[in-house]
Amino acid sequence: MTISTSMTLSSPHSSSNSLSFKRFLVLLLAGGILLSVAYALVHLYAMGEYAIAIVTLILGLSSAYLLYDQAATGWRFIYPAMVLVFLLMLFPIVYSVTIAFTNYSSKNLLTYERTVSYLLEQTYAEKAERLRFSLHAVGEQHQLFLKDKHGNQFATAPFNLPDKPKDDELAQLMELPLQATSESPPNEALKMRDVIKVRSALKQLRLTREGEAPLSMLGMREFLPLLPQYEVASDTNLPLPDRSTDLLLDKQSNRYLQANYDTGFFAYLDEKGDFTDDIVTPGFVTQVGFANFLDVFGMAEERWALLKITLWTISFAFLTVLMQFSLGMLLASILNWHRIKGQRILRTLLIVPFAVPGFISIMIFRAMFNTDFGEVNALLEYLFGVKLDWYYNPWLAKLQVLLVNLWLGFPYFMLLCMGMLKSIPEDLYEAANMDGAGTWYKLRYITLPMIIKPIVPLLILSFTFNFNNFNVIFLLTAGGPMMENVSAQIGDTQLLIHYIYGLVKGHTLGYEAYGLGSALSAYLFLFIASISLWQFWLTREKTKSREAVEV
Amino acid sequence: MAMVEGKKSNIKVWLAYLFLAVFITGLIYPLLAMVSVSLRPGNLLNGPLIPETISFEHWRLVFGIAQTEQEQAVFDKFPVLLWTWNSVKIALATSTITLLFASMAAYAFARIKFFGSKWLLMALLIIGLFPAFSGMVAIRIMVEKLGYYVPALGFDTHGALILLYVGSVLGEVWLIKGYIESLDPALEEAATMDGANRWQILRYIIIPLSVPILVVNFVLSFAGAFGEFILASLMLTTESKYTLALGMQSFLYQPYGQMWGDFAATAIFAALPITTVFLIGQKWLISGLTSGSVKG
Repeated sequence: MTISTSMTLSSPHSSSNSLSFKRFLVLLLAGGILLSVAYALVHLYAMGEYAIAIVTLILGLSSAYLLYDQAATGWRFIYPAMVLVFLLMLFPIVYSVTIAFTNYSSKNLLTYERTVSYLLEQTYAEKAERLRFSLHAVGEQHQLFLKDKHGNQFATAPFNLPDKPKDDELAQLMELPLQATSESPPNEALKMRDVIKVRSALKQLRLTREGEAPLSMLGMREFLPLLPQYEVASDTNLPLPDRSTDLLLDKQSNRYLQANYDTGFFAYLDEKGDFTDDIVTPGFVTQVGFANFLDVFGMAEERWALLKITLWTISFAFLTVLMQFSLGMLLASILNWHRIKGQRILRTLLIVPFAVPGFISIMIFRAMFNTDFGEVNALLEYLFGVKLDWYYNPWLAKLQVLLVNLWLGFPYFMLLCMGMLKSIPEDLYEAANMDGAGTWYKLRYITLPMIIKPIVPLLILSFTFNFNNFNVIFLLTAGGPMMENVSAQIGDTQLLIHYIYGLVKGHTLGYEAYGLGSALSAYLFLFIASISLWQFWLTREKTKSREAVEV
Repeated sequence: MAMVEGKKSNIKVWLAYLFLAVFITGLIYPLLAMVSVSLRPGNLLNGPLIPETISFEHWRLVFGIAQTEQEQAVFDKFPVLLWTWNSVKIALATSTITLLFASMAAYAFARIKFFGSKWLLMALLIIGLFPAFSGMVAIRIMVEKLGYYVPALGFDTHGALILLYVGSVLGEVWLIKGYIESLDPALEEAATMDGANRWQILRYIIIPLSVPILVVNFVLSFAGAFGEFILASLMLTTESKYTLALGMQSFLYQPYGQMWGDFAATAIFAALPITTVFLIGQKWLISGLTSGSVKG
């Protein structure tokens, strides 16, 4: 491989024959890609995976085009990186936004078709047709005898009880055929306490009868037939409003249901044919327009919680940047002072927080701030005789998060400031010294004006980073302590991004609210995008003015 | 400086040294305390900084060297070396793939004029600011669907995690692009005159010349993938597939109390190599971190 390429390098005038053969191979490859994309598209379309189909189409067409067009060298170089960015960053964002317009959640998880077929598979136990059973031991095995209300007797063959399911497994159903019989049971029926012992095994039995619904155990004495609970109804005597969705009949209660596309659930109908609040789970995924975007603001008592979280997120990001920058600037000024010796070793010690992987230091601080055994409280108790509750007091928890984040982030700003301070011409300070200027004066009128332009975009960048600083909150307080008098699980130190995580993971509302979480993400995207555009604009201004100076 | 610096100024110097000394002690203390916790017998947090008796029980857990069967049972629950191997594997794959693709893209952005390159760069800058997991709902669904077609990239696989980490390729494109732009184009021009094509220029000229920034990038993206935690917690559910960052959590969520001693030993074991590389190579790594405006 290496040899052949270096040969081409040394002999640039390679024969045109081999070149056109190479071109032929490339075109063949492009054609192959197009064909396989077409094949995949048909399948994906048939399966209803439209989003994946669109992505496949874009990737297939673009890669084939880049192979075909010889002038697109630049694009060929960036193509792999761009595909990754497109697939892993842009596509999820766009996809999230589309999810935000649906009611997708763990309550509304399935498509409409899957929900209907799920409901049609549901059964209910018909009490009117119950059969009393008796359990008999036949050697190691068991045998069941059942009697219906007309006195007909049925029996199973002797069988082994099914094994108990393991902890994480669903119980496997065991089917047993049932035969009508006139024979009497071989021995005395087992006592109730013995039946109770094997109850869970009996629950796994399905007794099948020819031409009739299967039976399963209910209570301790009976087996009941399992009848399909819903069936598709074509006609009702209800004055139905014009709706095109499927009509189902609940055979158990003899009431009609219809799919409500506004809520994504099948709901029972009242006499007038209107939807009642009585719904059937699971729901299906449906488009809900801007409902999620409004719901974010409309969750009654949680509205205040959301406002509090937003305010805290902004103040957290702002205070973090302010504290990290001030401390970094202070240390940089001290280190840059010509009378401080051992700058290198001091710098190395000061950037240790930067060098330790963040997730480890955050967890170390969780130990340090431990209320009973932590070193922080030990020190405070020694010095002032107080013991602070860093995890249950909301304000202390917030202070703790800010302090730890300061520890984590100040070296970054210290290094930035050290570089910038070095670039300020020394004679400016000398002139100020001649005039007898004080430290504050020099900082205010020389240092800050000189570094403000290059540092502001970096401050904004740090603001956006900390606005979404998930790690420090998640690993330190996990968002806690939880707010009181709010029905949802919302923590005092939660940032918006952590709140979204809670919505999506189901911690916040008790179910996984994908649609709602995505709507909130979309707001977050907008916010970050506008801040970064502002930052970009600032950076451009800066480069422009610098160019002007250079010219 | 022709200023006369008197006694007042001397006091200032000593005050500065005092401040630095107190500050650095406070800074380093938590790390020293962890070393001490890892060497004390038992899993308690409080105790003297210099241990009265030194016990290596937590360090034996890290390396999986059990002395009794009972100990072995506990150690099996916390396969630190296996987690470390998972992390190293994932981080190596991530940094290799990103480095390859990022250097290709960076070369094109730095040296090839092509349609749309300016706008693309600006778009990338903005996309790069979104946290990688902000589209987590979509990412979760995507990975599950992908796993349906390609099981090796499905949910709860290292493949999926590597794929997601590789999305961080963007930041590196910026760093490497800046470096390539600072190279002297004369060599490339000479090579072009001799008939070298773009790929050959990248392979034989740009990459050898950019080794310093490539090493910096490799280390940074290795450390990034090694310490990543959120995507890993979203993607991995099987304990034997955990990365170290994820597995270390389990020391603190045990029903019978937090295992601070074992945690401390594992933390030091995990942090020491990265921290050492960072401090030794600080001159180069820091320039990489502070010159690129994209961090994290």
